[in-house]
Amino acid sequence: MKNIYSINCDTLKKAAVLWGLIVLGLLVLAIYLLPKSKLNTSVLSLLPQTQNTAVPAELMTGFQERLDKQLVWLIKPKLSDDLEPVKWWYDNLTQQKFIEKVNGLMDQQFQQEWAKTAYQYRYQLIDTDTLTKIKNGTHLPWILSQLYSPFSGLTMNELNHDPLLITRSTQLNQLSHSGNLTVNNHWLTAKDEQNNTWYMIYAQLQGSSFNMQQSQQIIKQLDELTLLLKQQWPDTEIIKRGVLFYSDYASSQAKNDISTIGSLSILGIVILILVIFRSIRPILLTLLSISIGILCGIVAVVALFGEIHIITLVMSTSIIGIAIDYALHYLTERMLHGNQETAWQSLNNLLYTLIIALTTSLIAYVILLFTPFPGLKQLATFAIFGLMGAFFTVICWYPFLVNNLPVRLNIGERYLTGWLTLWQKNSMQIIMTLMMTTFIAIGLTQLKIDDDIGQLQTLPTDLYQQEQKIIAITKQSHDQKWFVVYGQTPEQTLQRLEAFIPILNQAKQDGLIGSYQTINLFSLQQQQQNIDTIKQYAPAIIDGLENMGLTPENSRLNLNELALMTPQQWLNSSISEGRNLLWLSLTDGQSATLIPISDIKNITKLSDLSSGISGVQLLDRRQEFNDMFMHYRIHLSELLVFAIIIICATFIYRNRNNGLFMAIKSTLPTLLSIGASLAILGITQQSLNLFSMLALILVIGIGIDYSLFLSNTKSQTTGALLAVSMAALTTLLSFGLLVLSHTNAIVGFGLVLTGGIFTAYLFAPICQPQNKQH
Amino acid sequence: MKNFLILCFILPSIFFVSNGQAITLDELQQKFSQYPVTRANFTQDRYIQGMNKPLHSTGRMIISQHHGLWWQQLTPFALTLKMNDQRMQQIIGQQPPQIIRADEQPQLFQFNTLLAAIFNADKITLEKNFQLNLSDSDNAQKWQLILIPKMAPLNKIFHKITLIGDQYLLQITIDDKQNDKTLIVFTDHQTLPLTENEKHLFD
Repeated sequence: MKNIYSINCDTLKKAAVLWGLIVLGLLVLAIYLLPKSKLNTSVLSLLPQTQNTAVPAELMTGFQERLDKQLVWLIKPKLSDDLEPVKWWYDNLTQQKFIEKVNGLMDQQFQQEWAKTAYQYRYQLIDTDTLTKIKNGTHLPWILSQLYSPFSGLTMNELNHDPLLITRSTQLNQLSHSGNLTVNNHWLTAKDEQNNTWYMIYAQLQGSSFNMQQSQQIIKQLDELTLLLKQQWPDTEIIKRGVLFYSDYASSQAKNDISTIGSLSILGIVILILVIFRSIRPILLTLLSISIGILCGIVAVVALFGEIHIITLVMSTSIIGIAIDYALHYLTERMLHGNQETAWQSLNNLLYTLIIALTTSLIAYVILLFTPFPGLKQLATFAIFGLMGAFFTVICWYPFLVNNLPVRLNIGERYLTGWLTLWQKNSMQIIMTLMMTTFIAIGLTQLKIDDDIGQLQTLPTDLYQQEQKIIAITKQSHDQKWFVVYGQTPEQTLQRLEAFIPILNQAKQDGLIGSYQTINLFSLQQQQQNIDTIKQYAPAIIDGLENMGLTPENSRLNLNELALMTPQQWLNSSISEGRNLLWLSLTDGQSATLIPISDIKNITKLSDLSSGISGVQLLDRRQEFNDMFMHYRIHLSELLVFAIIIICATFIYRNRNNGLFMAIKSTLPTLLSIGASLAILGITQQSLNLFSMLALILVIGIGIDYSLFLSNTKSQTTGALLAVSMAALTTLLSFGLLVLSHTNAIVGFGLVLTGGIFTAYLFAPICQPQNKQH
Repeated sequence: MKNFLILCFILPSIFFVSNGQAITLDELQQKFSQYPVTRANFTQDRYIQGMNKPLHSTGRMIISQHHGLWWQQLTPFALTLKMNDQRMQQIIGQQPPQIIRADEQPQLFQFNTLLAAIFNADKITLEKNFQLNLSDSDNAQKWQLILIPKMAPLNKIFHKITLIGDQYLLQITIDDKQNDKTLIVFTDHQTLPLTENEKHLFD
């Protein structure tokens, strides 16, 4: 390698041209790929596919996408029966292109269809309570009670068509499970604690995924509609809920984060370079290598993942701080020694350490690549390719671009030398180490561990309050805990559901759960059984009515040639309204149904319910993710301890000739930087989580460079210190700015890196060779 | 089932009407709560179109301001109903009671809430929900109140509800939308306070 750089200029030119072609190719690829790629803003997609559930992933994705498409509004007109604003909102939503379907209006036609279907399938879909009553002989007295009741509204017509009153019975029993929602004036309504009436309108978005621009457009349109509504009916209240609102908020926050952090770190870097180099060209050069780095990173991520996650982008801004190091090292070398050596010689002097620096950083990121988190894989991919892009730009192009760069000697020489001399004193080393150890000790005592994935998401107070209010009014559970029942075919799924319901009923009776909700559809097998049961018991009931002289003249039982209801028919009918979202069938027949559970008393016992039953599983995604976070946090900390041991052993081995004390001392920067990282989390009341662990990996990967550069006997120490100082400063700047992020997890990530890298930089001179100065 | 939800709130109000002077709605309402307890026997005839004879039933009822309504049909089959503003319990024959709670099953309690609002609240609410027609008969002791529901869901089921009373409520006639009709006649009114035994009936 040395030979190439000192002698063979031709090879270098070829390399430069080749790199130019590659960059051009990447540019074309970027122009081709970017418009097609999607910006992902969902927090859940940062997390691994739940591998520990047996539920087919396609089904889970299907449910997730459906959930993402739901929007809910509650409207409270000034007067409870003023339907104008509700109608207005409904009509306007219906007209929007981005809305697939609006629900909440149960008009005359809907109710008629509903009644017709309920009647047509009354035997097939008879509710379990009614069926039990028919079997144990208590259905007849109930029919009598309806007949004798002056307020039942029962007519001869109904009795003629449905002598067993099964439609009526099923309907009444279903009503008693309907929660807090009622149909009022044809609209779905709920009452809050102050007895105000809220009208509920919910809608599904058209399409399945939205890029940032689309969702922004939708939100803008909805905001305008809300404003118009408020203008026309100033006293009408409207509250909303939906994943879209959150993801739009998250992406606009992230956009803010990116522009703030990105522009501030670029600004800081520009100022720093101007101050040190006193020239514009180094700025352009560093910006060039950063831009190419970012280009490489983005193309790699988009090409490999087909999308880029918003959190990846935010965290990727921090790559700038590392990518710039290669440029800085080279430019510093040129600035200090531009008069004595050629551009090639400078590169030659640095190449070895640059490669080491790149390698240590890459190794740290490669470790991230092996975590199962898609978000981190993206970040690592971005970093690996981004850093390589910046690195190759420096080694291939810089030698051609740095001609006549102004040379400045002895910049801050006095301070740098003073700093190094200071660190050579034992007293300085001991005092600093003691102070840092104290700081670490204080910080560690306050360190808390928290694996909650909620930290990944900033909940905007306003949206969160609206959501809480909607939950309170509709009394819908927000636990997001449900059983999922699945099977190869719809029929198998339904049969599994039917087998599981008795277990749920038992759990309810035992007080394990408050309530549960299932779809109102049976398997074909169960439907046929229902018909058979009714055929068996109907004659006795009819006899009973006859004995009391109550048989209508034209009574029609119609128990023969009944068509069974398939899931598809159910979905298309009005009786699935409000429950159709609980059912999902894929084209290959695989099907699943959700059973939302509310008021869970004991989650561990609950998951035992489905253990051993094939095709049934409790889903508690949040808990699963928290567990996974914890698992990987522990996993990574073991990995980290292992890495630290290796690193310390290497340092001790390298310094074995300088005596044991020196050898042990050389491990201090690494150990202290880890300690300081953790301590700063404790002191700032941030909790230790998976993200802190990931940041620690980077602290080691990057922090080691400083010790390496300063202990490198081949380079001049003050020059190395200047380059290291600038590198550390830019890295600190870009990681430090992550603290400004609105996402808690990113703040913690930034804090760990800032604390760790600062400490690594601070203690790096402890490793300088004792005898070498100036 | 819904029938009793309504009765619960009409009865407490109506039974306590005492002396019939030339009466106004205000006065009628004012007198609603005069007796804390009223007992009566009832006979009910339900005329359903297409049935050749009315469905005849009889029983006893107690209405208490504190405890709510206890309604027991004795013939032709036993049916007991207990209710207050929080819950309703229906027992058919020897079967386990069927309980509906207002906070858990608001949809089934809709009648209750509406009628409670009407009869516990002022004249304005009453007039908002029903078209009212209050009149004295020739005999100044008797009065008649006709309620014609204006809104869903009441107007879907009832054509009108007619209450006739003197010192007590004597008769309720319910005209259904489908021209079916129910006549309930109350006799043997008593207004003594509840005995301990009677209180347990409401449990």
